Amino acid sequence: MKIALLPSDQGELKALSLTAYADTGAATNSTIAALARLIYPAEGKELADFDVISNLPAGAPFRGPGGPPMAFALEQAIDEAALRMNVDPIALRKRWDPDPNRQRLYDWASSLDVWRNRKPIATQSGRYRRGVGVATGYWLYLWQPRSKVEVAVKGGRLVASTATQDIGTGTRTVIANTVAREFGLEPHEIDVRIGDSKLPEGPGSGGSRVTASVIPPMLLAIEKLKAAIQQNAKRQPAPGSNAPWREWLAASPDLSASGVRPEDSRQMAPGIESPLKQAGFMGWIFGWMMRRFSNLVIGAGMPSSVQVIEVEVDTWLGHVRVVNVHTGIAVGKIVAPALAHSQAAGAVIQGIGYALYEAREVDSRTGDVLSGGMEDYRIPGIADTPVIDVHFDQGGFDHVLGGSVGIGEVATVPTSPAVANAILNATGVRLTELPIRPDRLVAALKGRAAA
Amino acid sequence: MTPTTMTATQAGEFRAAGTDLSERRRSGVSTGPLIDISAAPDTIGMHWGAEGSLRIGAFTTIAAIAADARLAAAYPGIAASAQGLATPQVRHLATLGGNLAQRSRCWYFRNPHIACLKKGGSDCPARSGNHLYHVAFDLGPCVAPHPSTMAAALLAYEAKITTDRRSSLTIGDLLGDGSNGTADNALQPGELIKSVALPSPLQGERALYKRAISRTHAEWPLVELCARAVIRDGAFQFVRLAAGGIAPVPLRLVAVEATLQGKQASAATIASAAEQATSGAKPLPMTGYKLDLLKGVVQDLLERLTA
Repeated sequence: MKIALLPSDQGELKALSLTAYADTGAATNSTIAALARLIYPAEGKELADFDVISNLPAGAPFRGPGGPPMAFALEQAIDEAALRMNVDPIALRKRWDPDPNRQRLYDWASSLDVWRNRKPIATQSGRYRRGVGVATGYWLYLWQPRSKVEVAVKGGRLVASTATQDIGTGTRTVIANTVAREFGLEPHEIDVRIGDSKLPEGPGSGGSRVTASVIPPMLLAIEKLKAAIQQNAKRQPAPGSNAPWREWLAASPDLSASGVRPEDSRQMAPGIESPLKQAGFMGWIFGWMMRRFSNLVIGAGMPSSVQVIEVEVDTWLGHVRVVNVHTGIAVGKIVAPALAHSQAAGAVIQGIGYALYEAREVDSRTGDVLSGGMEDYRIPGIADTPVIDVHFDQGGFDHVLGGSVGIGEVATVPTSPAVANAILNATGVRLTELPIRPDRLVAALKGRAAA
Repeated sequence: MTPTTMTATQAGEFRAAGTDLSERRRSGVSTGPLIDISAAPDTIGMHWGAEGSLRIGAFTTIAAIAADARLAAAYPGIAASAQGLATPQVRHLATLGGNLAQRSRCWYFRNPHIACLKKGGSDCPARSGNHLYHVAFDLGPCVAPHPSTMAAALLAYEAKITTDRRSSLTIGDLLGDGSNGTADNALQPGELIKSVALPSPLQGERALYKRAISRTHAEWPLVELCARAVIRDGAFQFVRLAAGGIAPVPLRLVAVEATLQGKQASAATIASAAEQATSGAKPLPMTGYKLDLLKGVVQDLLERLTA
């Protein structure tokens, strides 16, 4: 990747250029540089993605494809610009990135003690040096049209059904929690039926689209079902009941109602708009094509994340220990707090793997994958997991019925550049290759090229 | 034929705990008959001699070595090495003999689709290929580092190995000098390690172990070092350093030892001695970084031994 930023004399971002050559192997359509289109508006942007096609197996970071490498380049470039302009890196992002969701996250990040107490760059001289770095990430808010959810009363129990799936990301809990909350029940009292294509059409699991695709139709279905229950009830709840819906349900015959994903409200908070608007007519065409051919809508507002990461570098042995991570995430209202927290923490751990350990190594002559087992393909272990502080900013998506969008991809995007920026803060050395292994770090500290 | 009726001359691969073997069986790198072996009273556990020496049975698990308080007091470098290798699950099964006789971790050797010297091939694909984790002391045709952490520790302690056929083998006798690229050790076909004897520890000696890796735990060493020293009146009276992960066999860092012998234990002495750690090194194009790490672990352990 090659990246260049041009600040104006007034300190605004004038131009941004990013060219990415992706090792796509036997595949095409890498999207790395293109993702820099939708953040840090500038007068001029030159963004180009190239696929380097070979007989190697296809591969890309699995979570937020294209996002982590884009952020690794862009967020280090922003950090470098802040350093050269002698501006606080969070203050520069506040100036260059007007997105209202991220503006709130920047305020949160700049108030953290770990950020306020960080030392100036490369002012330490011992073997172990600590540094603090910041980076930003975003993902598209995607939802799938025609997503349909049926909510029914069967034998006095509530059953929610849609043909989606839970690949470990918490779909089942999101559905159960939403229905339970609306009826004043406990999540375990709700039967969730997914994973069957005979059920009403639901969204695929990809691109962080599921939450924003299933909650709005589910809320419509619940509203209809509630009216039907009240109409058909054999008796009314006792006056002053503290669990009226429990009583309505006990008195209800079997009923069902369904909802189809509605369009979002056009009443949006200031500064919230479709990211495609920035791309003008081309954006409109792209949006139409996405809806027509991919059955996917790019909605208004951007799921966003800002991470502040502290590392400790062992300059003798090239070892990086991530000490603590503060991850701020704006994906609207959190429907399943325990699982969202887990997703946010897991995304940090996965991001640390991307930053420090994970690499597919191949034999250059035969293309044989050499790192085919868990001993040679390193991922973080428990001892590599830092203290993780998760902050959810729950605003920004009031135009979406229910106010919630997906968290999956956005939560992992900024980790690797935040780690690299923290290493720079600690040592004065900027690492531009991933993963940041001991061989690369000791070579960089000695000012020579890695093998 | 059941394994118990097999004689040592019949071809077959020994299986103790199988922590290394099971992966090679599954991948297809290891085929052919197995000979399951099990412990006898004299091949397991700690057998202390009258003068404070120790014989460890080859079937003793790494976890048992790591957890033995008397061993840790007498031979702290052995205990720390056992604590530092692999994962708790592996340590609880893996045996000392198996650790010494395990096969190479080279990712070309472990790949069933690629031929190499250790699998009857005619050349070493790592030498001209991707050898990021390979040797920085190029001593033979195969460039895979020896995988045994315990071998490096035993080299530092000048241990002697007894097999079912021979006794008083040094680590050098057991593993060779690295010039034979076709084998991971110099055991004869069917020869079985029975026990390891450690000479009595020296008066006032200290020892430490360290591995340089990218993660915190559970990773094959990029470089590892077991260091022993006796410091008397502020001077190095005795130093033994044995490094792993850098050569086809564990290496004594004799140039560092010689530099330190008799010298005052100061930060400056240690820093200049650590520079000697790479004496004789012949790194491959991708393994030059291991020399930086080697100097780093030498300096780290010597500083801590003198602290």
